[in-house]
Amino acid sequence: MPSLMESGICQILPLVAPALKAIFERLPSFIVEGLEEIRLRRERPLAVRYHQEECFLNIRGEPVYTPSEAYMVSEEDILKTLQLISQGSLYAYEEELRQGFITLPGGHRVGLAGRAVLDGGVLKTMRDISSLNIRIARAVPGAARQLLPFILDFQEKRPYHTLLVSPPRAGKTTILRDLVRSLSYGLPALNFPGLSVGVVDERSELAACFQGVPQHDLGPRVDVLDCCPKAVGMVMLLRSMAPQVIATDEIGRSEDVAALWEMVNTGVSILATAHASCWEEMEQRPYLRELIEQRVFRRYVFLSRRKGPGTLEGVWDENKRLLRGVNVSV
Amino acid sequence: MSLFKLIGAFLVIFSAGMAGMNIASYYSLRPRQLRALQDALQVLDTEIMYAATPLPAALRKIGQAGDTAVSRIFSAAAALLESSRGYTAGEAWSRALDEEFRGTALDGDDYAVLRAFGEGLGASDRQEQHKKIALTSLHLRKEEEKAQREREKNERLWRYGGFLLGISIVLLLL
Repeated sequence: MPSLMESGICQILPLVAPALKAIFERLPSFIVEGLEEIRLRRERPLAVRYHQEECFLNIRGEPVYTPSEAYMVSEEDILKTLQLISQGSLYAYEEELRQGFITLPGGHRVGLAGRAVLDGGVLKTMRDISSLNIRIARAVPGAARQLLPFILDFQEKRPYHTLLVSPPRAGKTTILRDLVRSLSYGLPALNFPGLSVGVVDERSELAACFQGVPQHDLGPRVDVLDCCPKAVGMVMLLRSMAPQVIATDEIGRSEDVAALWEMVNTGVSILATAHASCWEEMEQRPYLRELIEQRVFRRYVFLSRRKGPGTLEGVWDENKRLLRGVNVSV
Repeated sequence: MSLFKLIGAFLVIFSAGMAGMNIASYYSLRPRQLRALQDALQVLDTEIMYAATPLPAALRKIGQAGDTAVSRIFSAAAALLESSRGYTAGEAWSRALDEEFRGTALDGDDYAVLRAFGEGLGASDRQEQHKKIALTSLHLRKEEEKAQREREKNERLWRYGGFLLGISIVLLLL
C-alpha cells in the first residue's frame, strides 16, 4: 500500500529510534492501513492501535497478544525518539512539554507523560519522559458532508452555533476540521458561499500547525491562531480578523463559556466541541449545562465510536428535539 | 658546477624555511580557531536562550557565518541532523567532529573538549544547555590561553628557525 504508507507511517518512521523503526518497517499491511496510535512506554511492551483494535508487537513486527512475547521498549528507545522528534532540540519545545504534546510535520501528534517539574505550583516542564503516544493524523475529506444540511442556516447564509459532542477519540476534531474546510471552500452544490473562518487552535490539533504552517488543508478562507488559549483567542480573532465563523476545540472551562457569551451576539457563528457521550453527562458539567439552558447552541451533534470513529448518533436542536432526516449510522 | 651548488643550496634553504613557516602558522592558527569556536558557541547560546531556535537551523546559521575549518564542523553537524537518517544531536555532532577535525589546527585536548560538548547536546532544557555551553567555552578559553603561550614560544622560533636550519645544512655540506 505505497500511497497509505506515504501519507501516514512514512512520516513517522524517520522520527522513531532505529530499533523501533526496524519493527515498524516490517508491520503487516492490515495494521499499517488502519494505524491510529503507537504507544511507547518505558520497560513496557510496544503497543499499537489499529482499526479500533489493540495489540502488542514483537521484534519482527508481528502482532502478539501476550505482553511477555512483545518487544520491550527501552529507556534508550524513548530518549532517542524524543531527540529525533524534537530535531535534537528539546529545549525548543518547552511550551509543548508543558502542554504535554508535540505536533509533527503532517499533523501527527505525540502525547507525553513523565515527571512534572513544578515551579510555585505551576507546571514548568516535564522531565524523565516515560510514555509517548504517537497519534497518526488522518484527514477524512467529506467526513462532515452528511451533517452540513442540518447545521447551515440557508436564509442567513451562515451555520448555526453548533456543538459537536462525543467521548474522546470518536472523531470530533476530524469532523470539526472537515466542517471548517467545507465552510471555507464554500458549498456550490448547496448554493452556499465560502465563509471566512477563524480557528482558535489551543492544542494545535485542529489545524496541526508545524512551525506556524497548518498541516491540514483547511481551505482558502481560514485564519489560524495557533497555541492560543481559547478564551483570549476567540475575542482576539473576532477583533483582528473579522471572521464569519469561529471554530474551536473542547470547550468546558468557565473562561471558555464567558468568552462564548461575548461571541454569540456578535453575528459570528460558533463551531465548538465538547467531551461527553450523552445529554445527561453534558448536563452534569456546570458550564455546559448553563450553555444548554440558555440555548446558546442551536445544533447539537452527537458522535460515537459505535461503528468506528465518527459514527453519527444524531443531530438535536436547542430544544433537545432530534432532527428528522439525519442519516444516522445504524 | 657552482651554479648547481648554488641552486641546490637555495632549494635546501627555501624548503627548510617553508617547512618552518608551516609549523609557525600552525602555532598561530590554533589559538585563532579556538577563539572562533568560542564565538560560535556564544552565538549558539544566544540562539538557544533567546530564540529557542532548533539545533539544525542554529548550527547551519553558525556554519554559514564563517568559512573556516571550524565553521565546517557546525555545517556538517547541521547537515547530518537534517538528513533524517536518525541521528540525535549528540551523534550528529561527534560524527561531524570526526569528519572535519582533520582540517583544523586543533590538538587532542581540544578534541576531547569538543567531544564532551556533544554529550547530551540538545537533550535538555534551555538552562541546562546554557550551562553546558558555558562550561565548554571555559575549557576552550583555557586551551586558547595554553595555545597562546605555545605560540609565543614557538612561532618566532619556527618562522626563522627553518631558514637558519637550512643555512646550517648548506654550510655543513659545502
